This record gives sequence, structure tokens and C-alpha cells, in this order.
Amino acid sequence: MKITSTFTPLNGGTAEVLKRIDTGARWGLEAQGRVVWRAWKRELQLRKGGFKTGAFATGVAQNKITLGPVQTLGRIGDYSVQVGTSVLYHLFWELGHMNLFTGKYERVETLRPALEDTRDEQRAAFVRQFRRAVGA
Amino acid sequence: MAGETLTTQAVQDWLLTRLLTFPAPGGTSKAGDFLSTRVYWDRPPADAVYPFGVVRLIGMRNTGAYNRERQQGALELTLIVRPADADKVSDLNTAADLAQGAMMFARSGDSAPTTGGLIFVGEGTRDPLPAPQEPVDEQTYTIRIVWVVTIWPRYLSRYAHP
Repeated sequence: MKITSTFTPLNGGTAEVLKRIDTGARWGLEAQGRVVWRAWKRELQLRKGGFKTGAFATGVAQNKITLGPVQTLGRIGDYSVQVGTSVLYHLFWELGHMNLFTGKYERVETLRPALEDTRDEQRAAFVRQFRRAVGA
Repeated sequence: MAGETLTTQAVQDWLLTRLLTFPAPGGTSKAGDFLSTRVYWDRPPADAVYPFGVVRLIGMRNTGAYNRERQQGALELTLIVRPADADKVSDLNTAADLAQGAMMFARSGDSAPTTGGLIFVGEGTRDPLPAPQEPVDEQTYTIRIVWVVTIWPRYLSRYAHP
């Protein structure tokens, strides 16, 4: 009986394997971040009329959502990607605040649903890019 | 005692009572001294008197582990005072200190999770919100504390362990 293996050693050996894993982690994270970035914009688009007060129209807010580059953290192999906003009022709407115009406590969450509702999509995007990088 | 996890309302009552009435060691100070009972679930009433708090259980979910009985999510406390003068901000920070202390080792009873239900509070983060700007009332000062909270609610475990 002949037993075969589908494993093909990479020319660069261990160093090449580690390099591909590293690339996969970075590509995966970027893809994961892009899913959140897109979902957050979508959440804001659903609220076309603004959060609650006209001065804070979400069409403008939508264009302020940012996706940063993948960055190295302290340890080798640890990376992060940041999905954020360039306007502070996003933070206040997301976490709740006493509103100057309505005189009430106001809160409209858009980031949290974007994060939580796309868990599976984020995971799938990461895995897809990781596999592409390692050649699996 | 399983009573504190028989319903979501009971879980909320247990958490809020702990938050407001647990005394600091060596004295009788507690968060309720500063907030009275003005900590509201989800949103405050329109006529809420300052300082007050808003508390929420966020993203409670099970991961499939522990027979899907264990729920984990966040307990979020937002404390707001107005006007934000030095004394009032200092008092709000003290209320936040006491709230943090109250939840530090918070755990409901010693009941076995599979039979009695269980609540415990884990690590947390505390941040003041940045200086207000539109649309926030600039006279307000806000502190936000978020803890990881784990619950084996009896309202679920009773299906597996009647």
C-alpha cells in the first residue's frame, strides 16, 4: 500500500512557514476590520434622518468612519487593527449622554450592533485571508 | 438561594442592590450615599435628579459551553452629574470608587450553578467621558464603568436540572 501526503515542504522551510502565518494574521485582521468598518457604515446609513437631532446627520457621520492600518503590538506576531471615527460626537451617541438640544438622556448605538451582528462574517473574512496567505 | 436568578428582573435587583448598598470596609460609606436610589435600568426618567446613574446588561450570550446555561456579557454603569463643578465631580468620583469596590468581589450566594443559579462580577474598566462638546450638555460630567458579568440563571438551568 502506498501512502501519500499532500503536504509539500516549502522551499524556505520553517522560516517560510512562519512568514506566511505572519502574513495571514495581518491579512486576516485587515479583512476582519473591513467587515466591521462596512457594517458600521451600514448601521449609520439605516439612520439616514440623523441620530435624533438634525445637526448630527448620519450621512456626514458615515463618512467619518475610519479603518486604520494593521499595527504591530508589543510582542512579535501580535497585531491590531483599529476601526474608529474622526468625530467625537459618535462616542457620545454610542455611550449615551445628556443632550443639549433635547434636554434628555440620549443614546443611539451603531458600533456595538455592527460589531456583534457580524461576528461570523468577521471570522469568515479572517479565515479566508489567512488561508490565502498560507496557501491552504 | 436561587431567587436572585429566577428572572431577569431578579438578577437586575440583585446587581443594583449590591451596587448601591455594599459598604466600604472600615466604614459605612456606600455608593447609595451619593446616588440614593437614582440608578436606573437602561435610561433615566425625564425628570431625573442629578447625580444619577444608568445601568445596563449588555450583550449577554452563551457560547455553547456549560450546557448553554452560562450567560456572559457586560454590566455597564454610567454616572452623570450636573453642574460639573469641582465638588460635584469629586463626589461623583467617590460614588464611582464605592461602586467599583462593591462589585469587586460581587458573587451571589454559594449556590451550585446547576441547581441554584449564580451571578459573579469580574474585571472592569473605568473611564471619564471626554470633555463634552455638541450635542452633549457641556455642564455635565460623566463616568463610565464596565464589568464583565457572568450568570448561570436559574430561569435557564431549571430546564436542564428541574
